[in-house]
Amino acid sequence: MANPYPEPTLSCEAFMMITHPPCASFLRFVRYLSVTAVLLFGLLSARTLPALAAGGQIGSLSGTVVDASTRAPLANATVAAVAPTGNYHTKTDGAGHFSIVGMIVDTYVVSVQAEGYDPITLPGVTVQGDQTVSLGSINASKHLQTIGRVSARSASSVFQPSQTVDTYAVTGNRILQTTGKAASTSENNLALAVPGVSLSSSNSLTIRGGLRTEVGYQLDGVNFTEPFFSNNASNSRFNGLGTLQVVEGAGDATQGNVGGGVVNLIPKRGTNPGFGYLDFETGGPNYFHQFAFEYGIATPNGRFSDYIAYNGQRDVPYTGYPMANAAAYDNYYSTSYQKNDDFLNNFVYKFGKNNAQSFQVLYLARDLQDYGLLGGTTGANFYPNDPFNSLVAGFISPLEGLGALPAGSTAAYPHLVGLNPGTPHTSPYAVHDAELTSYNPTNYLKLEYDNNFNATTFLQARFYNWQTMQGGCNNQGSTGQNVNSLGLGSYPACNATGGPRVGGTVDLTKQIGTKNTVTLEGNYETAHPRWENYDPNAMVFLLALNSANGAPGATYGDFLPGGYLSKFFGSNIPRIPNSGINYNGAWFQQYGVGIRDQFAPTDKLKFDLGLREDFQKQNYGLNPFNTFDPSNPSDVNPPEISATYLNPHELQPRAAVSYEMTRDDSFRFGYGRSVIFLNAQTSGTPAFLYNYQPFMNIPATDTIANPLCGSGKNLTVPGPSHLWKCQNYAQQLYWLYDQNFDAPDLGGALPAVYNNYDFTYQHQFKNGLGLRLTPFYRFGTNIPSFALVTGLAAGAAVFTANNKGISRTTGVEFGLTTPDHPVGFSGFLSATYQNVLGSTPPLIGGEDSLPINGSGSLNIGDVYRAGYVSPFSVRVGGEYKTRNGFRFVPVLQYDRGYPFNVGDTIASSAAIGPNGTFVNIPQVNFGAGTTGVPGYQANGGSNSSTNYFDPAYSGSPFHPNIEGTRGTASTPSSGGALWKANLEADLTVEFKHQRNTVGVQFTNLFGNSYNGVIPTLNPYYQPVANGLSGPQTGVNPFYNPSRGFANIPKDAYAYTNGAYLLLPNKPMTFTLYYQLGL
Amino acid sequence: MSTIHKQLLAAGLLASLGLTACSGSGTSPVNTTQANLPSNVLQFAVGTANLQGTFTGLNVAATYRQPTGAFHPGDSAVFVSTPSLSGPFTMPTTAGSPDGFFSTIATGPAPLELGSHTMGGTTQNGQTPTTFGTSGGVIGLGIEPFNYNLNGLPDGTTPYTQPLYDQVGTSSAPDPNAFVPWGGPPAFATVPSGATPFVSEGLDIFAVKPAPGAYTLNVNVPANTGAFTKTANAAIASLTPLPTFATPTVTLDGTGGGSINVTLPAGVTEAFVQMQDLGPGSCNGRAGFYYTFEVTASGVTPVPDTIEGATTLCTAAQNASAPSPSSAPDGYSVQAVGFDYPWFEASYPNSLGNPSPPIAGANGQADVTVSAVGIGPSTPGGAKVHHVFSYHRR
Repeated sequence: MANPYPEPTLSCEAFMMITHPPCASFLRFVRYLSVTAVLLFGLLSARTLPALAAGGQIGSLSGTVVDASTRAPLANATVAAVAPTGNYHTKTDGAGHFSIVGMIVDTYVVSVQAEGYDPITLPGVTVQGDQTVSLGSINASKHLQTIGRVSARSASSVFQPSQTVDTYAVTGNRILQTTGKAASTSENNLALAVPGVSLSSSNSLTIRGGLRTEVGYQLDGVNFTEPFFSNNASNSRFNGLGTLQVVEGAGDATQGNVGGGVVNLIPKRGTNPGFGYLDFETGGPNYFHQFAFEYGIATPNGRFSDYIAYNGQRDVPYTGYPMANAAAYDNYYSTSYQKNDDFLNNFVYKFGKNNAQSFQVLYLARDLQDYGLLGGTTGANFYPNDPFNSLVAGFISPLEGLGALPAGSTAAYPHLVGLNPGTPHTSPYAVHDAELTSYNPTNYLKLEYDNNFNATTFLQARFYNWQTMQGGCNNQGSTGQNVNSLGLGSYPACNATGGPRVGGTVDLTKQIGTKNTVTLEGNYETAHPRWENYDPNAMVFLLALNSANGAPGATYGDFLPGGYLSKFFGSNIPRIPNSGINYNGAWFQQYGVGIRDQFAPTDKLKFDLGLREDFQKQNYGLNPFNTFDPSNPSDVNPPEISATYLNPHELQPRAAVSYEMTRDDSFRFGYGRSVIFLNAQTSGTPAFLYNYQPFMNIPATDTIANPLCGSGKNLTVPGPSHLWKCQNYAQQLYWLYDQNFDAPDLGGALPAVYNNYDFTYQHQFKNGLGLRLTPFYRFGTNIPSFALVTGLAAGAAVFTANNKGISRTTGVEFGLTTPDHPVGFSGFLSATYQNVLGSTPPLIGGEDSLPINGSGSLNIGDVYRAGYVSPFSVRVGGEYKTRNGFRFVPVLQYDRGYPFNVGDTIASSAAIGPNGTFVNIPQVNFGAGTTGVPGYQANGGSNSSTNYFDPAYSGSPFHPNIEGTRGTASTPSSGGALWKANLEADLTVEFKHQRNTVGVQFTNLFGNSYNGVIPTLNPYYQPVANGLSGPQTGVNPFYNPSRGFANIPKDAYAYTNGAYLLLPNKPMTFTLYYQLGL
Repeated sequence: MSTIHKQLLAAGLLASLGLTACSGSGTSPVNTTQANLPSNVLQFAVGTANLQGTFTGLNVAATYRQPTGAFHPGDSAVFVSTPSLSGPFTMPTTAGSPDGFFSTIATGPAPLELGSHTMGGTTQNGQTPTTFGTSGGVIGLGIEPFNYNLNGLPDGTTPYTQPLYDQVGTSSAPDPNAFVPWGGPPAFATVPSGATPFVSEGLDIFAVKPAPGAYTLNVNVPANTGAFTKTANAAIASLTPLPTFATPTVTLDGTGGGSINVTLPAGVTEAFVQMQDLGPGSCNGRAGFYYTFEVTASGVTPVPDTIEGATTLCTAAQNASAPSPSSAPDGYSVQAVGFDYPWFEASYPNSLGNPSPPIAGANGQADVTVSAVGIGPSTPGGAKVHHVFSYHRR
C-alpha cells in the first residue's frame, strides 16, 4: 500500500545553515558518538532535573475542511503534517474539523486528501510553542490543486494572529539576522531580536523591564535557572539552537514561577536528510579561536534522530588595550583568558504505531573557565585568592586600623588566617601560572517521553537532572557580606554558587469537542542551592576587633602564643577557621498544577483560560552550631520560619483572548497573575565555618551570665539578650560571625506576586511585512527587598529581607518583520519602551538581581525609576542575499542611554524626622543625607554624594549648606538623567560557494559602543565650588586596585578628570571564519 | 526587492546614521559645570595677637568665598586649596612635628621653613611636611584643616587648636591656655545633626613674632583645568598689641546658669567669651559642650540656666548628689578673645550669602587679644585663673 502521507520534500536549506549530502563515514561516526555519548552521559549525570514551564517545543494545529463550492464540511478527510522533525496525521470529523495536538514546533507541509477532491498542499505552516495554530477553513475543490488560505508565514514573523499569549520565536533565518552568522553563541544577541527584551546594566536579559532574576530561563522547556541567585544557567550562551522562544508576561496556565517572562532555548533535532557544518574561526583584536561543528541526522522512517553540536572557544577578551594582557597595565582582576567547551546532544527515538511515541535524551555539558593574571605573573609574588600572600601586594590587612592589638598580632596573621581551598600552606611561594578565577561547569540531562495517543490526545512527560556552579575565587571580597563597607578594602574571597535541580513535568493535552483543547500540567522539582563561600578575613577582623576593644568572647589574642588556645594546643594552635556561607544541605521543593482551556468558539475568536497553583517548600539542613534548636539553623524567631513563609503557595488565574478581525488584522488581550518563589539568596544565607573541627572540644569563653551564642533574634531563647551559653569554642566563633556578617537570616519573607496585563494589535501588510504592537503593564508586589541593618561590629552593614518592595512597569513592545526571501533583504526591527518604577533606589550594585534598599526608602514608600534598564531600546537586523552567494548582515543595537546620575534627594539613612520617622532629605555627604547603600554607583557613603557641604558651616541634614555639587546633570531622584545614547553596529559579510562559506564579522563596527556600560562615579573626582572637577581629580596616584578601586585600567585613568568614570570603549572586534557544509 | 523592503532598508540605514551621530564618541562624560575660579573673593588681613600678656603673636584673618552670582555666594570658594603665607616675620627655629597630613601647624614650622619668612602648604599628592600640609586650606572663614579628600569628606572638621605653632607644654602637659575655637550657643546656634557639633570660629593665631610690613597670602587651587593661584595682600603698620585681656569672672547661681563679668581691653570692639562644660558629670549630658557669648561692651553677661533646651551647667543640687567619681561635680573653663575687627559678623552663619564681609579693623589690621583660661566648678565660687606659661620657655 502506498504511503498516503507525502514524504517531506523540503530541501535541507529550509532548516540548515549550510547544506550538503552527508558524508557517510562521518555520519556513522556521529551516530556512534551520539549514542555512546547519550548512554554514557545518561549514566554519569544522574543528578539533575527541572520543573515548571510552558515548554515551548510543543504546539497544536486545527482547521476545518469544507467543500469550496457548497461550504459543506467534508468528513473523513485525511490531514497530514510533515516536517523534518516529525510527521502527524488525522482525519476530519463529521463537521469537517480536525486537530492535532502535541506537535513538535516546526514548519510543516500540511496536506489534505478528501475522497473525490483534488489533494491540497499547504506549505509553510508554522506550529508555535504552546499555541494552537488554526488553519481556518480549508476549501477542497474537485478542480483546484492548492488552496491559498494558509498561514504561510515564518515562525519568526511577529504576525501570529491566532496567538493568545504574547510569545515570540526566533528561529531559522531570524537567528542569522540577529547574530550575523552560524555558530554564534551569544544568547543576548539572540534574545534582543524580540520586542520587550532588553539588556540590564549588568548585560543580562530583562523582559519588560523586570529584574534579570525575574526571567524564567529554560532549556528545551525545562527550568534552567541557577538555584541560588536565579541566574541564567546557560551563562548567556547557546549551542545547537533551533528556536528561541520568549514568552512575555505570565504566559498561559501551564507556566509557573514567572515574573517578567520566559526565555526558552530549544535545541535542534536530527532530520532526514542530515545537515551540519564544520566551523573554524579566528579573530581579534586580541586573540580569539573557535572550532564548532554540528550534525543532525535521522533515519528515513524517522524512528531514530540525533543532533550533536560542539563549540569550543579560546578567547583573550579586550580589557583596555588590544594585544595586551590585563595584568600588564594593572587591571589585574579582569578576565584575561577565557575558554569554553560546549557540547550538546539531542537524541530522539520514536516508536509505536505511526511513530506516535517518542523518547528524547537531551544532554548538555558546558565547561566555561575564566582566568586572571595570564601573562601577568612576571614579577608578581602573590595569588589574589591567597589571603596572606595577597598582603604582599598591598591588600589591607584586616588588622589595620583596629587600634590596640596584642603584641605580635600582625606578625602572626599569615600563620593564623584561614586558608582557602587549594591555597598552599607555605608562604611566600612562587606564582607559577595564570589563575583560574571563575569556574562554571554545567551538566544537563533531560529525558522526555511523548505519546500522541491519537490526534486529539497528547501526553508529554519530562524528567530533568542538571547542575551548574558559577563563580570562583577573586579579589573582590565576599559578595553580600559587605566587608568593603567597613572601609577595609577588598579581601580575597571565594564564591561559587549554583547547585542541581532535579524534577519532572507532565502535560496531558486533550481536545474536547471541536472547540476546547484542555491541558493539565503538573510539575515537581527539587533544588539543592549551593553557595560555597570562604571569607577568612571576616573572622580575623571580628576577632581582632574584639581584641582591640577588649570585648568579651573569642578574640584574636586567643590564637596568639600564650593566648587562651595555647592551653589546649600548645604552640600548635590551628589556623582561624574560615568564615563563610554554606547551605548545610538545604533543599527546596517546588511543585505546581495548572489547567488550561483553549476555547475557540469560532475560527476567529479564541480564549485561553486557566488556573494554576504553585507551591514551594523550603527545607533547611541542621546547623551543627545551633545546639539550642538545630532545626532553626539561623536561630530566628520561630514565627518567621512558620509554614506561611517556608511553605508558600499561590493561586494564579490566567486569561487571554485573541480575535482575528480580518485576515491581516488581529488583536489580543491577556491577564495573568504569577508568582516567583524566593531563591536561596532571597530566602536566607546560613553562615558556616570551615575547618572548625579542632575547636569543637575546646571550652567556650563566654559565661552563663554573659552568653554569646545565638542570633539574639529568637525570642524563645530565655534571657534579655536571647543568647545562650556556647557549648564549645567553635560555636562561639560561628555565632560571632553570624551575628555580624551573615545576612539575611531565614524566614519572614513571602514570594513576589505579579499581575500582568497586555494588549496586542497585529497587522500583516500585503507583502508579508508583519507588525505587532503590545502595550503592557506589570505590577509586582511582595518584591523581596533587602534593607540594611547597621550598628553591627565597626559599622558593618548587613541586610535583611522583607516584602515591602513593589514594581510598576508600563511599556510598549513594537516588532516589525519581513518574510524571508531567498534573495534580497529580509529582516526585523524590535523596539521596547519601558518605564520601570520600583522601591529600589536606582544605581546600586546588583540592582537588577539583588536590590538593596535603605531602611528609609522602604519605610517612606519611595518609588524610583529603575536604574538598570534603558527606557528605550531598538534592535534592527537583517540580511541581504545576492544571487551569486554573497550575504550581508548589518545589525544595529540602540539604546537611549541608561540612568546614571546621583540624585539630589535621598531617604534619610536614620530616623531623624518627626517622632523618629524617616524622611526624604537633600543628598549630602554627611549625616543622614549620606547614602547608606553600599555599592551605590560602585561607591558608598560620602564618595557617592552629589552635594557637598561647606566645612566652614555644614548646615543641617534638612537644610545643608551646599558649597558645591558634582557639577553634572542631576534630578531630584538618582537615575533621573540618562547617559548618552548608545549604538552598536555589527556587520557580517560572507560568501558561500557550494559547501564552502567564508566570512568576516565585525562587532562594534564604529568602536563607539559601550554596550550598556553605565558610567560609575569617579572615585578620584573631587568637587569644587560650582561643580568644577576638583583639585585632586586626575592627580592622585592612588589608583592601585589594592586600595579598593579594582578593575580600572590605565586608560580609564585618563577620564578621572570627570565626575564619572567610564571604562574605555570596547574596540571593533573582527572574526574571520570558514564553514564547511556537511 | 519590494518597495516596502526598500523603504525598510532605507529607514534602517537612515536610523543607523542618525543614531550613530547621536551616540557620539562616547569617551567624554557629561560636561561638568565649570567654576570661575578668578572670580572667587579672597580677603586677607593680619595683625598682632596678645597671648595672655606674655607673648605677641601674629594674627591672620582670611576668607575665601564664592562671589555674587556664583553657585552659593558667600560659601567657601573651593574644597581644596594650598595656602602660602609670606611676610617680614621670621619663623621660629624649632620645628614642629608633622601629623598624618604632613602638617606641622600645631607645634611649629616645618623643618624646611625654619628661620624663613614663609609658611606654606603641601600639594595634594606631595608628602613634604609644611605648616599647612595637605589638609590646610583657606575656606570661607579662616585657614582650617578642612581640605576635602578622596573619600568625599574633609580631612578634618575640627578647627585648629589655638594658638598655632604652640610650643608651650608637652604632649603630656599641654599648654593650658590652648583652646579649640568652637563657636557654641548662644552666639553660634548649634545645628541639629550637622556635620560638626559646633561652628568653627575660623581663628588663626600664630605664635610667631609679627614684623611690620607687607604680607602676602597665595592660595593655590590645583584644579584639573590647571592650577590657579589667588593672591591677597595685607600689612602690619603697628606692632602695638591690644591690651591684655583679663580672664572673665564667672558667677554661678547654682541653678545651671549665672553671669560672666567681662572687661574689654581698650581697642577691643567685640569679644568671644568661650565657656566649656568640662564635665565629667553628665547631669546635663553636655560634658565637653562649648558655649560662646559675644560681648561688645564691658559688663555682666548673663548665662541662662538652660541653653538650647538643656541645663547649661550642672546645678548645685545635681553636683551635690553626684554618686561616684565618674559623675563628679561639673566643671567649666572660661576664656576670652577680643577683636578690633568685626569677626563675629564675618563668621557663619551671620555672613551666609556675603562674599566679602569686612575682616579688618579701623587701623587696617586684624588684632586680637586672648585671655588666660579660668577653670572652676559649676557650683558657686567663681573660676580659678590658670597659671600662664611663657612662649619662650623652649
